[in-house]
Amino acid sequence: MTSPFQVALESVPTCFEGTIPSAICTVGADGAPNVTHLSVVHRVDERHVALSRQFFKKTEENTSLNPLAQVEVVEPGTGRTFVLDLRYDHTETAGDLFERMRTRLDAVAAFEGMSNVFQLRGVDVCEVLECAPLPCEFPAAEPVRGVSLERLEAFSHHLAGSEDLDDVLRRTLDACAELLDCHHAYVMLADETAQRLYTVASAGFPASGAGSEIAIGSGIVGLAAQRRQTIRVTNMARDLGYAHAARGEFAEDRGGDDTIPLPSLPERQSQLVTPMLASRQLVGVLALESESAGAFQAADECLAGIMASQVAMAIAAVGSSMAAPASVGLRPVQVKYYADDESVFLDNEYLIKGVAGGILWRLLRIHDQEHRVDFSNREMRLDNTLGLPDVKDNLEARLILLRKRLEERCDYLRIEKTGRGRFRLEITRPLELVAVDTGSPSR
Amino acid sequence: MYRIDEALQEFVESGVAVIVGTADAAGRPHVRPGWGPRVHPSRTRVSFFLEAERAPVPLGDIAATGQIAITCSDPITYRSVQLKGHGHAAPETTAEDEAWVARHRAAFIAAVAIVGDPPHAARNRWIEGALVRVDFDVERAFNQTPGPGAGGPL
Repeated sequence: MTSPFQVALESVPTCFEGTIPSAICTVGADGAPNVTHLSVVHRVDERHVALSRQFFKKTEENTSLNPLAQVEVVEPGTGRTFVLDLRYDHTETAGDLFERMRTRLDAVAAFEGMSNVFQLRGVDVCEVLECAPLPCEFPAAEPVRGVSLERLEAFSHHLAGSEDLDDVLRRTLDACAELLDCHHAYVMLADETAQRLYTVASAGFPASGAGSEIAIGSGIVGLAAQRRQTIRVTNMARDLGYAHAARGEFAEDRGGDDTIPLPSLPERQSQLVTPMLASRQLVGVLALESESAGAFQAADECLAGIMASQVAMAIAAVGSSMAAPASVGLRPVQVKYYADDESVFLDNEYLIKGVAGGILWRLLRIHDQEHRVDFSNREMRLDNTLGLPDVKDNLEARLILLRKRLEERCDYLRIEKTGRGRFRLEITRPLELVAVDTGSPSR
Repeated sequence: MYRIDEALQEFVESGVAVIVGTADAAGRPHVRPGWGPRVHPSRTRVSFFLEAERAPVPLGDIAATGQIAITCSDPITYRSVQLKGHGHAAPETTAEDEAWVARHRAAFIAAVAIVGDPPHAARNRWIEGALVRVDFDVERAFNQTPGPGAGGPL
């Protein structure tokens, strides 16, 4: 379809991602212009944009009297600038568009653990009358990133052939690099209570973050899971500045349970978090990070969404399936277990907690009492002391993250897969098991 | 008339992003990037610069109505201030004006680099070439920083 404008809105999609703040000018009853910055101009379709109604009382007052406005948007990758002539059409206070923009703003607030700071009172939908470029010295357009359907099809095909969760996760992280050119990604799964997410696999981070947890609804990752909406952050530094300005004070809080920090790039500028849903149930999230501003575009969001759905279905299909020579003459390592939160410490260094902690403690107790090293997923599921739910126990995922945590934290305790649904506990140092009595029965 | 104090002068003359709003006699608004805001010794008058190639429409507005609004925003902290008043385009610019604009652009490009703008894209935000200076008397000033206080008078 031919655009009625000098520049078609869809030809400059990155102008509408909030990477660089836009500017809006309206006119008051006295003919006086009013000019201010906007965080995001959202492209609704080829002839409409939406503006968030937050702080700009004068802008609202002006448009109620004179519906005309002009907006300046900047293409982040090139600096090309465009002006859009707008006519205010209507305000939405509910619905998909409103919720999408609300989540975008709440994600900014989530950087600092805030909520209700960017209360979105409405979304002003405006008809675009013209979109024109301002003259510039370097008018070359930004390259539009293509999506390789062949690669996506190949990923889908390989995923369908995955034998177990380990395989699904490995293929997913590989696909983030191959399909999205993103080498910093992690997968979090929803726990049995659907209250928390825990990291089960990651690639490309200084620390894997395996076993890190976050409450659903907390932070950007938790927010994406709670709202079942993809969140794409295009300029972390600017969003932080915006959040800071609005609150007037600064506090570091990513919303996570930082017993183990979430995987994170120290200089991240872009983030894409996509919920993984299967049969309308939250399976987990796929999270990507980049040190470049504007690294994830709208096309990437679509692609990540398709991937996330495929991964969710693959995880649902494989279900949640996954041991040790005797130690010799070394100082025993103290393994301390706190039953109240099922946390495990190795020589007083925190290792893991929750269900995975309970599983490890159970394995070590069996090893201690029976000198057994080979285990099966099936017996774990039948072990009433672990308290796994009857359905959707996520056992395999717990074993994966337990294995990763052990690989990160020590060299004398390993969980090795020995076959489908079987694993071995490998212990190369003597262990001293200490259950801390907190009133709850130890396993 | 609004009197700009030293602290506000320092802010306005730093590496802020400047947007200029004007309107024609029919109430059609226009927005353009501005450069090199400078507070006059009187503290009630401010100059800024438009790029000649991008300026015909706003200059037409200013000639018709004299009404001007500019907002200066720190790209890093988002602190923002809007100044409103009446003014006119100056007949010519000087070598000193050009040096002043170059200084502002250098500060601006350094600020946006901190928040991740690629240098080549930041550089493309302006056209090297003829400038038009606009002088205006500041009648009102507003806090434009995002937050509950946005829009309040200074």
